[in-house]
Amino acid sequence: MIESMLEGLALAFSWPSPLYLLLGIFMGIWIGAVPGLGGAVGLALMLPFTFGMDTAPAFALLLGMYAVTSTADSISSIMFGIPGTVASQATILDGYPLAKQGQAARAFGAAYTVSAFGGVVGALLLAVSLPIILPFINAFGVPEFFMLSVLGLTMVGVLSGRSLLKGIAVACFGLLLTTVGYADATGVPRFYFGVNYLLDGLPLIPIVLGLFGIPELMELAVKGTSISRVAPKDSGAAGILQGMKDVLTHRWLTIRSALIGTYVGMLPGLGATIVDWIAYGHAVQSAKDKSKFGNGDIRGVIAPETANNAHKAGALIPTVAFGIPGSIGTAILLGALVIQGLRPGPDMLTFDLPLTFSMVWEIAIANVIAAGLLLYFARQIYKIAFVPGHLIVPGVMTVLLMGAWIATNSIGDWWVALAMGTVGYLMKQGGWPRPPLILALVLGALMENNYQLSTQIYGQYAWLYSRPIVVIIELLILITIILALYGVIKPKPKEDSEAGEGAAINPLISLPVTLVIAAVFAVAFWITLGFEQRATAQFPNAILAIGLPLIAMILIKDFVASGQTVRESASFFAAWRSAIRKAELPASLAFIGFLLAMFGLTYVAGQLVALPAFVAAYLMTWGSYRWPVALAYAAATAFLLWAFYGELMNLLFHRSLLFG
Amino acid sequence: MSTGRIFSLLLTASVLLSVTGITPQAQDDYFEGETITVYVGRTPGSGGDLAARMFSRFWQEKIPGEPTMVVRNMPGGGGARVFNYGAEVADADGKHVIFSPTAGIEAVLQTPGLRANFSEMPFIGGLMSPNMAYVRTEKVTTPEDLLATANLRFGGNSPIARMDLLGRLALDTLGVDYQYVTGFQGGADIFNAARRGEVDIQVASLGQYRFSIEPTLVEQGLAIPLWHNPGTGPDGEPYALDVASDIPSFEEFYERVRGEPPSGPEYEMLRWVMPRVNDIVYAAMAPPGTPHEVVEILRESFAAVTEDPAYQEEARKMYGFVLPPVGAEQGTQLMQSLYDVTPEVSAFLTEYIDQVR
Repeated sequence: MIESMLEGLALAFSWPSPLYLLLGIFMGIWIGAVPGLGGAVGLALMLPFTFGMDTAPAFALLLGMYAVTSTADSISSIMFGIPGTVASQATILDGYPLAKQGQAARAFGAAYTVSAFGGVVGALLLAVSLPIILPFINAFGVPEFFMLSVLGLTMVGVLSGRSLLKGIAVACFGLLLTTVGYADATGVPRFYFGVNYLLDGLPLIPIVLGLFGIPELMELAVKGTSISRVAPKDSGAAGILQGMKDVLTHRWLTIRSALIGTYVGMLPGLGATIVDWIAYGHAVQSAKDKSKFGNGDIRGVIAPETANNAHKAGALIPTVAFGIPGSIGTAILLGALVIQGLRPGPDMLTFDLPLTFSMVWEIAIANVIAAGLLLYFARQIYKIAFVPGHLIVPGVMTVLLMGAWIATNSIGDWWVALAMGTVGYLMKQGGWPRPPLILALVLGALMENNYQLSTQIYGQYAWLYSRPIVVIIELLILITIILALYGVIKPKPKEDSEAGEGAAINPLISLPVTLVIAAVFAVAFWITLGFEQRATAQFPNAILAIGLPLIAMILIKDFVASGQTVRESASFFAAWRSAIRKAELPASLAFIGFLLAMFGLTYVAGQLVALPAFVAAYLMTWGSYRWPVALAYAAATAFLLWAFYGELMNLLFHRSLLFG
Repeated sequence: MSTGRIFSLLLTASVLLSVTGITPQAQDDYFEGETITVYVGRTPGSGGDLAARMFSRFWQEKIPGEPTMVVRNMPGGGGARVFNYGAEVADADGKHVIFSPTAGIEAVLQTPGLRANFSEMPFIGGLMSPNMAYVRTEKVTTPEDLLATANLRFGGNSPIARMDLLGRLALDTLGVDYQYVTGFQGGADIFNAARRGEVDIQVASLGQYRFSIEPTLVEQGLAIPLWHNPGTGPDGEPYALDVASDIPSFEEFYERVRGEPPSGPEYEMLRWVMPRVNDIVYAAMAPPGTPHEVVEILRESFAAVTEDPAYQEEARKMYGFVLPPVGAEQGTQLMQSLYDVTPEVSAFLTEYIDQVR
């Protein structure tokens, strides 16, 4: 084993592999930093260039890129509250509040230190775990996958926000949204209302970017401040050093998160999507003082950022050893493997073990190099938090909308992002937590399929009590819920703080959100009555069986709280005026109006005109900048759209009425 | 010839040229310096996307004038959106081509979302993606055991998925006692479940078989191959594929275990479905109204790629074999046959699929 590890290390350093590894790292940093791109897009673009290359440099290039996207994605998660990739969603919960408090450099320092640590420890853990990997992976069948999804969702549902009821209800809402489109088990489309765009279901990336990104940009625009609400206290280097010290302080959490990342990462299909949430949930559960989670607790950055890098090496093993890719990214790596004349299988853990180790080494080395580079750049990047917000909003909105556009190159992606942005804004103002909604959207299809497969393969109920791992996970779910009910593990934001996720108290804004969700549930229930196939209706009905009573209880609570608010005010209208003022509704609606106008212009003249026009108009009206600044910014935006998204990414822009 | 007649002839010729867009002399340089956009109805990194990207690299070199080919992804509508775009929106000038996994079963079943009529879109060329069936050896150690073993589990994606339909029709023709387990998200998921013993039988692409199933299951004694789904010749008769010569075709397999040629209503339906949904998996088509001369250039260059040794070498690396090509004439006929569905066939298929929903 040790000999194979050393041979693998020598392979990883054989020339010209290091050169290609560096190239892959630089590209991975760029792809991870731009929201919406993700490692799979980069790998797909790079794969054809590796066809003619030797095995070692080809994998150095691909693995360099694959490994570091989940390091670089923390830039937008921490700076803008927008997940750079699907693996960094949990980071925003505490990373962005830290940036708001002027501590972005500290968050970067911690994030990059643990990213490097996670990458290396993940690789080492993998090496010592090779003998038990096959039995471990085989122990997880479809019932275990289903239960693990339920556990992840339960943890996030009860951990984020003040209200357990709202956390679980909004998770049900998210699960219901995943039932839009074709049901895999029957091939029958559901809830698509004759709209072809909905046949494939709601795309995840526009939803994530809209739900988290648009409300934060809206807030920056409305408040007119910089991302950081306070002036810089110290230099970037000091902040980064503080972040690194934080990692030492929380070293055991870092190690436990690396363990979670490595072993959950090995589970094909589930690992990448859930690993950061499970690590975040563990950080909250294991903390004595939970009051700062959601308001800028550095442990909320350390745990997910360790886990999402540690999982990369773990995810490689099922791909090379069993030919089971767990994601599009690993599927492309599998393709690269066979193109290089290698065959995945037990040979990769015996005869070709040095090569397998060289891949694991390359992931570990790439993580360390990327973390070092990003730590160096972080001394400059953190300064963005102190730039006037009006200069940030148009540029980031452009990148966000183009990130959403990558999903299907359809204007429907923008509408989904805007709709979810509006929902996200109302949820944020009304004290509804957003993370359970996102995780439900990520896990919904997996849960439905694994549930239905479990009942087909193992019978209707037997799998619920006859499989030991399922029973253990059920107990964990039960314990999580009981502890949450007793308020033991739920993070409790300070009473005077409304900054945390789901912490806002504004019942008159919460009420419309509750009514919308209740209406969606009611309409879905009515539609499911007409489904002819049992399997088509099964999952929506199961969700509604939980969701409908919960939403009814929340409705009652919101009505009572709203009545209380009205009674405490001078009049009904005074209460509403106060609620609207508190939520800064008029200015927020004006911002949405700006976006709608830009959408309209896109239909007429296309994105290459509409987005630069939005940038210029925003800067001159909201930011009160003079026309030379607006013009220069708009020109830069047009160039970015044309060069990066048009020429390099080959994205198909919207066909406009004027220019086709 | 009078000046007026000459003038009217010139006018007529110029009108014709402006309508067709090219002249015979101009064919060679029609694409010179141009960009051809290749639309794929799948996400970046998916099998369909990688197939289109790989093929396009060779295709652009075979087209006179050596235009640049740019692949653009247009997923959505269960794969139907890209064909709707090709039929309704894309310019019919040869510079816009659809090259995507076909939606043959969707066309036959008239599923929601597919508005394009494939028979109206000029067929340029296609590639077949062969597939095969295997079974785990835990319950079935020889092909003959397949008929004697009860309650085998056949794993699938969806009742309307191509390989699920082919697998069910084949198993029913054979009279195998099996349970159809559906809802897996792709072939890799089913293979993983087979490895864990949750399903016994899978119909998998030949590529997946060569690179994942054969080394990790078959060579370890954990599974045996059963049959491959054959091609259909111009005479309508099935023929065994060279690229899967180590695995019997379904007809050969049936004769081995049953001692007679296959027959029965399920087999008749299998024969009807096979060419329509299985003989062309990746199809290159042009928008309706694309000038015939331009389509011919694209057809000739497409066919030239499939014979190019460099392409074949790369295809062998990528799939383990060269995807059998489908010519323009055969492809055009197959696309037209998608709409040649009798009420009896439609009723049989609808009822057959509804049985497992």
